[in-house]
Amino acid sequence: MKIKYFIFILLLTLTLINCTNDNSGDSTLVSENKNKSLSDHSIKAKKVLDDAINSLNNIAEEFHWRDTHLIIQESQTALLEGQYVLSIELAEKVIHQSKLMKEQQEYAKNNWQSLVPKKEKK
Amino acid sequence: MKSINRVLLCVFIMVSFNVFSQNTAADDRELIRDYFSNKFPTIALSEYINGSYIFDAKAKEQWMEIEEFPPYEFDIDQGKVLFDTPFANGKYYADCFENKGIGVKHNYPKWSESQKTVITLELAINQCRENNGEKPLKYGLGDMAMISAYMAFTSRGEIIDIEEPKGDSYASYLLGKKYYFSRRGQLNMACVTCHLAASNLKLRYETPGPVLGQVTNWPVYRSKWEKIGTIHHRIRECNSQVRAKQLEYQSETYRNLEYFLTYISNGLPINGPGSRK
Repeated sequence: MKIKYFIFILLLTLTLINCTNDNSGDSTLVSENKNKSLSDHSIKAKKVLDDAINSLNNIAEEFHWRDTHLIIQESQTALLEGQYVLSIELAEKVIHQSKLMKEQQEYAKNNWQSLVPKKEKK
Repeated sequence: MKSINRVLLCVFIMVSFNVFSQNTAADDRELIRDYFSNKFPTIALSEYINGSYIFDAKAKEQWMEIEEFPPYEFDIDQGKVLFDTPFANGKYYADCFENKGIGVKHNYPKWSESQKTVITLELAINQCRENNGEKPLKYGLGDMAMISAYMAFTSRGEIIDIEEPKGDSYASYLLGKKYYFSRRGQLNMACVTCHLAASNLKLRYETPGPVLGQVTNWPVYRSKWEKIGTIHHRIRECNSQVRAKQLEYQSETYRNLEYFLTYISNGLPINGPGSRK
């Protein structure tokens, strides 16, 4: 009887130890995944922000918009604070504005004379 | 061989057309004057120095009353004090300008052949300081605006007489003109949108001043600023209002723009400093 009881306790202990080990393995995995995921977000946010800043490079300063640089600053702050989704959203907004600025610059280059008043025929 | 000749002839015709179809600065000036003469035949050209008040008799009356005790009076006095204060080397601002700096505003901005750039009065003031070992003043407001106001005051009644831009100077003039007629900022507006096309129209509550005569009354004491400021300060504000990036004071772009604006107003008298809402 004592032997049976001893074997039961031993098996129970081994099972518990095994479970604990399994759990710790799981949490490490989750933690690793989480860290990996965070790292991915951080890298992506940094890349989108860099793209946003670079998107302004081929636009003449006189065609830059007033608030675009503020949005870049906000995106940089969000990145530093770990708000990667917000940082990406703001950087994408900058990229969108850059496209519009570029379009405006090209339009002005080809069409600025359309706003010059025409000589009226007398 | 014949086909090559034809191509060359076509190119020659196209280039000639492009060269001859390009307006000269004098043409532009005439065009703008004609535009306003035709649009507002009852307003004399000489009236355009009074800005948007020419379109609104009641506003003009109020403005004339303000001008009886002008808010910029102390700025002129302070400007004179600063103008007459010697530099550390014993020289004066007067030593840097023709006619000792009295009554010279109507000749600015001018094209400098040696520097290959447009020199505005404010830039000349700071160049004078730097040539005499002094630190440059901050542009826009404060001492710079006051000295400029005093110099404008001594030029009241003098007719703006900018030499017609040609050659290199025309390139700068053209850049200023392009800037004036190009849409910019998030609101996609050009200077011309307000100051030519919208003359005598309301932008919300305000009537924008017409491009003709727009430079004659600077520096200006604006009630909104509660102080006197230079034309570049106003241009920066304009940029911000259409949500475009503000450029640096006295940047080449702004100087070219001032050059264009001033040449357009050639023949009108200086009436600066002025007051505006």
